[in-house]
Amino acid sequence: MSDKLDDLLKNALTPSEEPGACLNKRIIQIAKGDITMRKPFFKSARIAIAAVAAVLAAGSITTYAAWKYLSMDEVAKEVKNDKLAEAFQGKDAIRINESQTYGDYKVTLLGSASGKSLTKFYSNGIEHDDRTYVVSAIEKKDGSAMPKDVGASDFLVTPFIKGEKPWQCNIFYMNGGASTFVKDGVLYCLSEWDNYEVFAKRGVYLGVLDETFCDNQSYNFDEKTGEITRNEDYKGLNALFVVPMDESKADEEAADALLEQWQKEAEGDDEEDASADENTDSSNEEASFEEDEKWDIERIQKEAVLIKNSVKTVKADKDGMLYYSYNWKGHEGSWRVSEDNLFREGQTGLSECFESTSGSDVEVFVTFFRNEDGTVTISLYHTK
Amino acid sequence: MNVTELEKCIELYGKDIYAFCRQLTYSQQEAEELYQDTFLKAMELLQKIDAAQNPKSYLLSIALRLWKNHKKKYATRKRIADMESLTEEQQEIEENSSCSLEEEVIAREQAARVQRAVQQLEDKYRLPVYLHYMEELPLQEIARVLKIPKGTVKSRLYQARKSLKNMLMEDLV
Repeated sequence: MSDKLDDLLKNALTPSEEPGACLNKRIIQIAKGDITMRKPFFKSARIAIAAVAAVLAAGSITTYAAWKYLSMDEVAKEVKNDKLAEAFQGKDAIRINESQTYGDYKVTLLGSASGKSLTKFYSNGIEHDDRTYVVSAIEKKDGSAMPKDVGASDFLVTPFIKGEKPWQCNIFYMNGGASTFVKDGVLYCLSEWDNYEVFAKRGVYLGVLDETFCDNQSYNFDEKTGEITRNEDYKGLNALFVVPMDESKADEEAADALLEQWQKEAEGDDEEDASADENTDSSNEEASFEEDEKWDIERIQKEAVLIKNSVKTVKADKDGMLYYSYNWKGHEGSWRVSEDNLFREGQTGLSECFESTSGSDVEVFVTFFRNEDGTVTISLYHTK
Repeated sequence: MNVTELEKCIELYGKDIYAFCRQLTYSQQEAEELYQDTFLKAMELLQKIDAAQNPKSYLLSIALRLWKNHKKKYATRKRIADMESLTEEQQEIEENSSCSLEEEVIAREQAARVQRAVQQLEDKYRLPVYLHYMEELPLQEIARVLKIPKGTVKSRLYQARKSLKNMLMEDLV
């Protein structure tokens, strides 16, 4: 049976598609500097809209007539989801139509809807059925059209929850995703994440960035009140909408449970194998895939060998990031890691998190120890 | 790495890297973006790819890192891509059924079933499967690409195969 499975997998997964000649040519052209990564922006023919948009300078918030945009249900239909289109037309859908202009872009939050079984979204093999969907429109402030190849990797539309740090609790944390398309020079984003209506009493926001990631440069977080605000000094688009919610759907207990679930999932993303399978198969092929080594921080401390001169004490920068690099017998790397990912708030001592790299003969582990003065001592170990 | 070396790299490894990107992202558009970004990032990171250091593994690890950074967004289009690919697949089968051998259609359906089964695995099991069966990397190289110990790669492949056996029971009879 093993051989049959191997054959099945090999046959099914043997590459059959090739990158197109145009795609390869385009990469070479970009590398040569003949063309830029993005297609040049082109002027929109919609002069009237351009004239209005040009008045909007450093930043502004307006409530816009939505006549010039596709409606939420039309956006859902564009991505071939009629069930979601119906939900957007339903009485529970929230229509917002608020615009903000920052950096080079104007963002209009058209509205949202929440519900079960409207899409099939899988993250790490698990279906997430109960979702919130938000539609936003992004366009160039100067009225020129968005390029047709602009998409989900150029902008980040993300929910935030009052009381939770935006650079930690955002779309990535909430099993989110987005579908985008450009129509009539406007980029439409249909974003979705786990249903967050239970947070209605706490308050939720929607941030829109011209970045791929959300860091602590774009938004401020007030530790005391849990309020999230825009960083006025941020260069670029960092719109922030306060999303109106139906407070009757709030459920504090469920909100706490959801936060806990997201936390577990986030931890699970990085965890090593939970357990080796005890099932012993007589097949040699099977046996060769059995786990023979499993390391955790305790075992590293007990059994691995500390690399002399590797111990360094560093301090996180103002953004909470630690930088370190090492080079030991071919194991080398420069790393940047958030202190928040290594230690719980207020935690001192050894972090349970460690990095590991595999070489030809040994494995190297990087461990982190937070000292009382807030500095972090980084040590390297190798297997014997 | 200069442009000539980049061209050589694309020629030698382009198909393999593209196949990997295609499986990671599910949609052709995202795969092409990831593929393009992979080679451009490789050029940016390295003055010269050391031929002795297995450039294919290096390129695969760049693709993987870029994909992980954009994971949620790439995953987003899965459902749409699934719908499109199923439709295309059905059309193709319909078109071929009148003029091709029945076995060919059955084989294609079986391959689609296997691919769907692999796609249903969690990432930590799915990625080693692609690197082992599609990219034919040895365990040590898979460990290097995924930055996990070799023993963990073995364990994950073992678990993946176990799950796939259950999912593909009928095809294995």
